[in-house]
Amino acid sequence: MKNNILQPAFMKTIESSASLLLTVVFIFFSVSSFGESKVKHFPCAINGNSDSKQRLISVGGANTEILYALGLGECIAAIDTSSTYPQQTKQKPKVGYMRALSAEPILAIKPTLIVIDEGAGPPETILQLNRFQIPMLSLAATRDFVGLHAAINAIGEQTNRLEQATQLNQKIIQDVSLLNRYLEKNPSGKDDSSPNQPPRIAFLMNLEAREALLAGIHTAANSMIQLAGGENAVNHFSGYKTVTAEALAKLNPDIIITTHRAVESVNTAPSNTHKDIVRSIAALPALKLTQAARDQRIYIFDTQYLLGFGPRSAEAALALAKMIQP
Amino acid sequence: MRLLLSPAFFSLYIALAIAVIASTIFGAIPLKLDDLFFSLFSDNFSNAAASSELDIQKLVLLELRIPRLLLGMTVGIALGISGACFQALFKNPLADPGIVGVSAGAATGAIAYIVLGSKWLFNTNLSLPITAMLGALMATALLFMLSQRRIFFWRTASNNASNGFSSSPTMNTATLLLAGIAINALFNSINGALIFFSDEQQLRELTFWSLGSLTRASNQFTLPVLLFILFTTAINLRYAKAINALSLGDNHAYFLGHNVQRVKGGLLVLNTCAIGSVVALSGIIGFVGLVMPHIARMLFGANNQWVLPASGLLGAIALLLADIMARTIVLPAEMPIGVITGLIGSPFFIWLLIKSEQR
Amino acid sequence: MINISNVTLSIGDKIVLENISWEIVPATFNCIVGPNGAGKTTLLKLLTGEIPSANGEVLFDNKTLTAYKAAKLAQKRAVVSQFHDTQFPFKCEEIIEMSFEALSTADYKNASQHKHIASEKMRIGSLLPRRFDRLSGGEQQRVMCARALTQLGIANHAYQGKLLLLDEPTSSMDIQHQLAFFTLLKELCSKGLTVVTVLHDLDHVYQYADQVILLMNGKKIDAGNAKKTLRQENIKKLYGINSSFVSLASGNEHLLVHN
Repeated sequence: MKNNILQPAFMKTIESSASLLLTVVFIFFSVSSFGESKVKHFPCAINGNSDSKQRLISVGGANTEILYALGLGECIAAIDTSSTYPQQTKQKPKVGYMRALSAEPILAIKPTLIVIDEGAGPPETILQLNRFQIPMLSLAATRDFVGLHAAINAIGEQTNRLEQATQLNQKIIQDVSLLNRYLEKNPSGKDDSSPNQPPRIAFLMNLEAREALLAGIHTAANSMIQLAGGENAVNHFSGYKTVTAEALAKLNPDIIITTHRAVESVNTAPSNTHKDIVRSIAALPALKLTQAARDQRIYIFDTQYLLGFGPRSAEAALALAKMIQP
Repeated sequence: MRLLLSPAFFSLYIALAIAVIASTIFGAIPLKLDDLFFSLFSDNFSNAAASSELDIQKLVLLELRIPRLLLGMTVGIALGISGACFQALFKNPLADPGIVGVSAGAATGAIAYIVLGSKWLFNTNLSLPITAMLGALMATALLFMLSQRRIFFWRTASNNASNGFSSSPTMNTATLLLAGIAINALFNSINGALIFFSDEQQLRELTFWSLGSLTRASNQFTLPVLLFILFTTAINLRYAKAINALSLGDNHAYFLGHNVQRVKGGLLVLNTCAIGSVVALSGIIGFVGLVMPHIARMLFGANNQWVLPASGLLGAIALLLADIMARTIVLPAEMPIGVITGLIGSPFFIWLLIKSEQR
Repeated sequence: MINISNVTLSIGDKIVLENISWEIVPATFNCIVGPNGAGKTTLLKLLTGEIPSANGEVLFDNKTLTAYKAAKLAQKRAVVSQFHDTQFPFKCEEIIEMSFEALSTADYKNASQHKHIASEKMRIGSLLPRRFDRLSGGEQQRVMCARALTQLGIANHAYQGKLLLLDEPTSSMDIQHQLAFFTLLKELCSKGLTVVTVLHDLDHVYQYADQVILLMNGKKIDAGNAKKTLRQENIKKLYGINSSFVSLASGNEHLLVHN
């Protein structure tokens, strides 16, 4: 508009543009240094099989467990952050949280198959992956053994591991029958006075001094409690809700189950012996007033082991049943 | 508009061009740009062996990089320009839509739609950005009321009977920031309540709303939002002189012949809606709207005829660069882009606070 | 030019202006005088249109102020208000150029000339490229006055029907600038400009004003010709202080206030 406005601004711009350009160039080079090859190849030669070129991406803890159980651990090129079992998963590249995936890094791995939890997202990323025609096996998270067998079969079929899949299913069936036998032998009654009343169990996902995150119905915890012959103390809400110490006292569960991670955040036990930890948890204001705390019937599980409905779940249910009904 | 072609802007255009090229080149999949260039413009370029590889590269470029580039630029321009406009309208260089809680309001609108709205009747492609706009508008209305009330207590003489002008130097920085804390707290607790009452799976992507991401580049409402942002940008630039006068005070704008209620009201609503729609697209990406207008002012002074377009360009540049970092530093995963803008922006914010204390 | 009739204005429970009537004649220098809290600024805001009159009428060229579009009004009157601080690094010339928008098409042609002459008259030529927010209070006031003069189209010398409203415009200026400014205003008045200003220095009012209105507690005490209205008993009534009139050798009579 007016030249006199323009002039000083222009001069200043020349000075500042230099620094701006420098910044851009700096970022340019710093990015280019790590832009390419973070994606390693995972040669997958098992017994010299012909399918040595499989490159799998697994999203969802159960899916990863199944892949490892089928002997495909070596072929997994990347996993999501919910895949925590087995130990070897620690060394695998992570594509991030299963609900915040990004398409391009996944494409860069050039996977031969993505085994993916149905709840993974965002939907835009899934759509993009579909548009690139990446083979994808989408599996709904299951909470019963019928679904688990189907998932194992589907994965086995897609990865040429049908034989191993059958074996794995066999093993799970064995575990389930072990569980059933145990439940038959030890019918779950709270005590002798009410033999048909199974003990009421509360599962706490998270612990704090004065409140806890409690599992309602329609949760994996609920399914596991039922499989193990217990009864969820909660039947009036679904999903996970934060409840106060008072509400927990009113609920008054006979047994409390929680996770290692939840315990870590509140544990003040003098030593790491199991007994000390349980005692320190039972003394939390949130739990103190429950029957479970009085009886020291607090059991601590690994989250993925107990809730990530996979190949180890029958075993986990048996372990839980043994705790409920020793 | 002629200003946009002035030499002073050339360096910004060059920087933007570099940022655009950089965000086209860099990513998890290395692109062979020279081959791609030929293949895009000649159909019969077919080296049998290379062709399938090229097809994928083409797809990566067209389906992933370019939509994301456009989204990043849209969001960056909107955040930059609306940030500058908010600061002028509230007469305070710290009045960033994120800090005063407008972005949080937008996120509440979006979350409310996901939790409640999809069960209601209206369920169109544009429902999400529109509810986000409504949420943002609620936050702005709240902030505006707070700013007026402040005047009411402080200089009653000019307020009660006046038709919206105030000659007093409106909200001071402390009040503005406190109002921002209050509004942010309000909307965050509404978010908390909504999440408490829902089992919606989508809500587990909470980080999307609180830290932002450009992963959702191919949304069905990206194009309408892009057009809306272009419209908002044009209006903002058209009223740059009025925004200048308003940044001195509503009364000054009135003395200088601007229809304060209409211009200020219109600009506030429009820019709030711009923030709302952008939050619906990309979640809350903080500090861009705060920092970019400041850099623009360092380069060009306070005149909004310069500051507005420069903030928009700088916003686009910043967002593209931040996005390059977001999608390459933790490969094969992706960092929420808000983490990066926050890491760079919050020290800047602290520096600004210290500077404003010294004045 | 301006007709205020029976205006009463209350804010909350407090009556700020009570039944004020005042007529402002074109091409005169008018002062609003009174102790703190008398309602001077409120009265001026009624004239600018910042505050609409709830009771009574404020007519500007026989039309109520609300009937004017802001843009139309801005072509006829300029305002210098009491407060003008900004948090943004505007340059002084940018502040002045903001008034270009207000100019009528005829005046807009010489926009930069208005700016040039106005800054010359206010002696701010050297301040133009500097940042407004870093100036002293008096310098800021001079810049704001230059903006108002630019808005009035000072280069065209067409002041007929134009109005300048000022709220203590010289409160921070040094004395030479104050006198220069009043002399300038006086000169513009003689060319047809109407000036209404709030002023505290009674001698300045006595020297330069044609008409005054004396306000106390929202009531009009007296109004009329400045020389006749600024009587000792009126000053005693307003401020509770004594005053004398002193003649200098030059023949000028000055108003001196004392205990």
